[in-house]
Amino acid sequence: MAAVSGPTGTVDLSETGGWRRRKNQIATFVMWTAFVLILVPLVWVIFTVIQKGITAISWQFLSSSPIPANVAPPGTGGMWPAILGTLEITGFAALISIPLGILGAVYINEYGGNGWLARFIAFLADVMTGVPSIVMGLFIVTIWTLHYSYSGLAGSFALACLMLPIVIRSTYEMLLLVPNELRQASYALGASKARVVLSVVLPAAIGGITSGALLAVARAAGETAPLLFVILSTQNTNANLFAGANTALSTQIFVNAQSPYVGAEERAWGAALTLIVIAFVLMLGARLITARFTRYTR
Amino acid sequence: MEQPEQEVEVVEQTVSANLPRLETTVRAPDTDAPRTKIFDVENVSIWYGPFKAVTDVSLPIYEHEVTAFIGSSGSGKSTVLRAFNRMNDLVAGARLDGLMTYRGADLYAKGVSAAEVRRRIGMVFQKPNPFPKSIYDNVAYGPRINGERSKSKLDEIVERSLRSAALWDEVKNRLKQSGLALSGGQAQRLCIARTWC
Repeated sequence: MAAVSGPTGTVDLSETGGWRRRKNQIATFVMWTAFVLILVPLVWVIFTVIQKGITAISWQFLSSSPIPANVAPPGTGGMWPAILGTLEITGFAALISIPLGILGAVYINEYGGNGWLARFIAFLADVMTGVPSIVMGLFIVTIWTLHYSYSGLAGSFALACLMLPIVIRSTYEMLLLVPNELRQASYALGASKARVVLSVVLPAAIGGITSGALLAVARAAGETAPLLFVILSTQNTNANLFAGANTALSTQIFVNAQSPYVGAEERAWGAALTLIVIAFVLMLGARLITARFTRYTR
Repeated sequence: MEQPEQEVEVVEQTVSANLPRLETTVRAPDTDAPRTKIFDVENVSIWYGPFKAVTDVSLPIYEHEVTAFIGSSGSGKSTVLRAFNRMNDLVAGARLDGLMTYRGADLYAKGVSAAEVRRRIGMVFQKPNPFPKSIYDNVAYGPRINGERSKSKLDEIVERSLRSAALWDEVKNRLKQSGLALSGGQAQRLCIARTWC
């Protein structure tokens, strides 16, 4: 019989040791450590908010109005004005910025080509992404609130300014990912440019566009700084978005958390939990919508 | 028995100065029926920016014949092919010199709409590129561009196209499934069906 070189047979197929194996072990260890480290802040934040906020949440907390004064004891009054304000202000901001942002990105990627205008808009959108949100608030104060007084609408404008670059950027990235072969296939069938964009490019990218837009909405819903100047604050329900001071969950957290009273602090935690739940529901909705839109892309 | 002599016409063309030659072989039909020219290409040169990809190509393309371009990689086969339905318009900096006619009409004349050209002259690509839509919607895409809205008409067109691409029996029970779920060969037949209708 021929020489047997290993216990497994004529050919040794067992894993070799040495530096390669060591490298693999190190990389695996680093990856797992990073994973655990990432989990720490995520879980901690959510756990703390739930732990401190859950006692405040009740049907009365979610639905009654007005918001009590900060001296009111825990378990009294409700946050309905702030919940309604957040939904209205953020919703209207989304209504302004999502269509504008998507159209802007379509222009930059599909129509602008390498022209100066497209590059200029893309550059400005990038710059705007880095502008602190409070600057957007100041901007709206100067051009709107000083002339037309406080309103939820002004808050919507400020949030829309904040969301616009995010929507443009994320939509643009998604449009870049649409393979050129798809556009060519559509052109080869005699489609006009508008038709190619509407019937092929946008549907192919809709999943990512929705995610990006929802991310912008969730980000805006939690913004406090730009709202503080432009909607003022109120304790009463103001369903009219277009006139009068309004309030939002984020600003209520800001006001109540600064207050030394137990009741106010409990309401701040309750508002924080409500805000997280709203963002969570939005994300869940986005997933469902995206799954429905993208059922043909896999 | 006397074998009818087949006339084979070889037109050799220099496509690019530094590249191998592109040969155009036109096989004549067995009958004496008059051949109708569908396309006529006369002294066509194509540039991509400063790069001259194709030099001075002339060839006829006849009805009821299969014409094939054979040449080595980079010799300009696709570039010439893409010129027939103005797909090169989509490449920034692409330019064409010479005359290219479709049934006597100059394809590159002023006022000719590229979209209108492509509605009449279809194209199947080398790589299958189905849309991320259902099989049905893939095939119905063309007729819908042309304004066909009637459900029964569309059903009929879809079935006819898929049958002639020899795909109908494989997909007739899953027309609502994604076109991307097909195998490579099936996807390519889907693209052929899509171009035909």
